[in-house]
Amino acid sequence: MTLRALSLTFTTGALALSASAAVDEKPASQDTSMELRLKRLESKNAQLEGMVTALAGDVEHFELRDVMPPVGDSEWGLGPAASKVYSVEQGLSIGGYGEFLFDAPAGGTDTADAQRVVTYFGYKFDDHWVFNSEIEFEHATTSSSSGATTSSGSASAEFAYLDYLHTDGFNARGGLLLVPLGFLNELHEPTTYLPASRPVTEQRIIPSTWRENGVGAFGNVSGVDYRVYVVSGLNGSEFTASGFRGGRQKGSRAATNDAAIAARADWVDTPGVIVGGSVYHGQSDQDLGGLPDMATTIVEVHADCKVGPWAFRILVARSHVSNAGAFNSITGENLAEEMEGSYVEAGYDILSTLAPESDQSLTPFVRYEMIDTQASLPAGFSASGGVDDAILTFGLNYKPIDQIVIKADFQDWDDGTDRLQLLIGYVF
Amino acid sequence: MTKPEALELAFPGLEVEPCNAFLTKLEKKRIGKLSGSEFVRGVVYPYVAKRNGVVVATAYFDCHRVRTLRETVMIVVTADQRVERVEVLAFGEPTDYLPRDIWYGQFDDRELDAELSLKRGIRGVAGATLTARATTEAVRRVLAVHKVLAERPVESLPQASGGN
Repeated sequence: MTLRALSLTFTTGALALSASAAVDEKPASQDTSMELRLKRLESKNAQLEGMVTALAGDVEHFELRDVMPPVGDSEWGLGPAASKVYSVEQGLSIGGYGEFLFDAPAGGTDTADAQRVVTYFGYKFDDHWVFNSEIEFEHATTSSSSGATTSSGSASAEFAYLDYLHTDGFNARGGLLLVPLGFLNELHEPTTYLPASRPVTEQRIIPSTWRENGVGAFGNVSGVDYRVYVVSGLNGSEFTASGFRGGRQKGSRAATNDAAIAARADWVDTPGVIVGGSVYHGQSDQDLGGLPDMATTIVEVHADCKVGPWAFRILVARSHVSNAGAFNSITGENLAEEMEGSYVEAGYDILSTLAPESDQSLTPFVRYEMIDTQASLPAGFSASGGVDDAILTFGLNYKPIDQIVIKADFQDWDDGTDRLQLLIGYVF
Repeated sequence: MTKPEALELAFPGLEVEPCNAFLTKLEKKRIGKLSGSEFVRGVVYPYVAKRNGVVVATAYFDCHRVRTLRETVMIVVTADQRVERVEVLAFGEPTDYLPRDIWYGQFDDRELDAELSLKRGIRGVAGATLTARATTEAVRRVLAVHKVLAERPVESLPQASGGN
């Protein structure tokens, strides 16, 4: 073997040895490298898990910020059985409702009216103090220009009051208050009653929307909601043969030589059922213009029941005014000593049967009402200028969603003017 | 009422394990279909109450808008996927729109079905329609979440979050 061959052989062998050694060394370093990588990955995974858990906690904390315990104070003295609700959140709450009415009286002028556009503003100062208000624009404008009427629209505060929340059983309220009589005076959003128009009883005898300045208390005791207010009395000088409506002072620089008390109780212990009554009593002469004492009392009882597709409502109201005869002699009016009115209303949502999965409702309804604003007149006076009638209203109430309602109905008056009414309403 | 107070009220003397569960797209879609309204959250936070290691019930906290402001409720779901209780913890709107406790009692023992609806088995509240609807949707939502989580394989069940 030549030296060259030997050298080549040696080199080749050395290379082979070297290669062999390299193959043996590669698994060892690879093992170490893989192990290291795995440990690093496990460590990183644990870090990521920790970060995700922390982020999830932060998200939950933000979502539930109203009910997280205040930092540094876990002992509030509230027992775990306390069920009183409070909110940490402060803030402005905005809502509203509106009604657009087409009214077609028989033999009269058809009208299309932006009847009401209402905005609610509420503000929660803290857990105890809350402000709530309703601003209403009636008939679109305060200008009296119209092809159908000379009376103008209005912009009014319908209610504006401060609540002090104390307990479920006792809370205080003061400001411009809705007098707590009847159904519609306090709850008159168009989605809460079936026909297009409010019952005449709740326009003439309970003159909704009736609001006066006052103070009072409210709460719930043993399943009974109550409200008791002391308010400015009515202005009796504006009473007429057709009711008390003109006597409302609406919280506007109201004469309050005479105050009145209004009290209401509703049994509400069964969801969907309300049974209750209310009473109003106070002098209404306000020591004005030589008027006699006019003790005014309004009493009503009511029931409302909504069970599945059925809706029922009934209300009976009666009023009494003292010295009506003397009032009539002074003013030339024909005010009654007693007024009475009542109505019953029923409806059935047919979509709950025809399309039970639907969120919509289509409710045929009927209301029957009797009203007599001169049920009892003082001696020497006879019925004239009042409202004494029976009204049958029937129609359809359609809600594509809970907050929007479209109504169509026909009012059949025994003596008064029949009318067709169409209404679009909303609430938010 | 704070969250810890609510959990103490719901589960006196029990061990409560706060968890979190990250939802897949399919799970969110299924929750939306079961509840009847779109579900967009990616994480839910069940609080699992156990007695001697056995799950007794699960509490969820749901925060939702009523009119402009929020209501937070605790909804407790039993092991057989029924509502045990609904408790209002915070209510931002004026209290005129807050139903009485008796109204919330309508949800007790209900399951996720067609009757759990304001048009069927749940009676509304005069003057608080928005609250009634928001709460009813919340109960349906929570029951749907609970059902979907219960359908997961055991190894994919919500993980304990170590407390919050």
